[in-house]
Amino acid sequence: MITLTTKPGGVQRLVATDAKVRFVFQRKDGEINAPTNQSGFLRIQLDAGHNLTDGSYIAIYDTAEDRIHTATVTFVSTNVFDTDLAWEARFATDFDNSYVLNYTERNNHYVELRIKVFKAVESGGSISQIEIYRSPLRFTGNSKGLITCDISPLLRAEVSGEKMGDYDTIDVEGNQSGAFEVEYRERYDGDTNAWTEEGFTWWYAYMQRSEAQTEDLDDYVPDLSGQGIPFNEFERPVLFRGYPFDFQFFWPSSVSALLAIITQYNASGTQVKHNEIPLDDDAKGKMCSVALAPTFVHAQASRIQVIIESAL
Amino acid sequence: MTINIDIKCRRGQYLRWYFNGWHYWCFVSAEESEETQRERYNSEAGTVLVLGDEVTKAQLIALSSLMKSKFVEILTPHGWDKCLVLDQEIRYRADKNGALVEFSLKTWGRTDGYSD
Repeated sequence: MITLTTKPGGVQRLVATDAKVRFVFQRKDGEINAPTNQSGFLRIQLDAGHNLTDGSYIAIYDTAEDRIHTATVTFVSTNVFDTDLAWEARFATDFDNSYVLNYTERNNHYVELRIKVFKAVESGGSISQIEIYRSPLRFTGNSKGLITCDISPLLRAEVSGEKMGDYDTIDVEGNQSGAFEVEYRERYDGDTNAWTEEGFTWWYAYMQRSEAQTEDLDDYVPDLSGQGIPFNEFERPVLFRGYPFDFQFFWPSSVSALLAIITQYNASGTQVKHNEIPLDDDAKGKMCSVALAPTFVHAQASRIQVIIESAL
Repeated sequence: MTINIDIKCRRGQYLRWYFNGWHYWCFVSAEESEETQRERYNSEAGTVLVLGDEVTKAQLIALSSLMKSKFVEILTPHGWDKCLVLDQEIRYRADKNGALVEFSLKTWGRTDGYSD
């Protein structure tokens, strides 16, 4: 049996495609109760639901030494099992509440994981939404039954460098971002396991991140107070008069209406133009671009301040 | 979320590239600059571009994302064309006014940019 124990970091569930995006499972084929000495060998009692038999080849996790012991089952009586592992007194505590992995009845074990992607696509100048399952990936575990599933290859396949849109006031960057849901199932020889839904919607953005920065993009999701970071390496982007220009930010799916408050100042710091523009909520839950058209920029403006806030 | 944007006026080679967001900069061809020696570059390999004016260290770091981008395009009268940046790193050269950054840029199928 597998349990999802660790998910990618971040409260907002927005992850970078070019970083490890890991869902971690722990496999336990039986949880141990009351390890005892049976004629010099380990005897264990497991909870119901296991399928060990006489002759099963198993691994037993040693909680004290963080390693496994391998053994063969020599006797079975309902939920009680004798093994050929020589008894040590410390097993009474170090194996209690630990677990076994069944290499015989759970042969060729792996976790299969797939994502369902929700994204915007552009065709013939119009943008539509699609949802599609991608081919699943397989992940095998280590000797302790820990299975780490890095789905970043699946997410990287969803992004490209193609710019979407044509510098309208607001465009969806469907080639740089989208949403996904995760399903998984445990597989081994002879299994009939169904897919299990992880239960949440996640979002991805085409971002390169270092190991230290991690996949977590919480900082880029504006909160209720409006704090958030645009997707830009410049602290102050530069607009060259007369040329196309936009900037990107993430529109949280929990916010239904946004307002762009755009104020233009001349070189003396005097306001020369002010606009408040409602943003179309078709971009909700996505990375989107806000464009500043050449005709929108005031002839005397030397800088522009844009504030994105909830319209409610 | 607040974004502050500075406005510059220049005509030249206008590039956009994607690296953790879309970035834009209007470069100047090397032959237009008095500060570069164009014979140092193989003119058949592409067009040499420079920044055009002083930049801060923070802007230089941001501009270096151009070297890491897999998606660089130049604006032409026909629209956006894919580009290939030939140099692996930005060469930094300080002049009497501050910094100039040079790199070679080859446009895919074209060597002219858009300027009016």
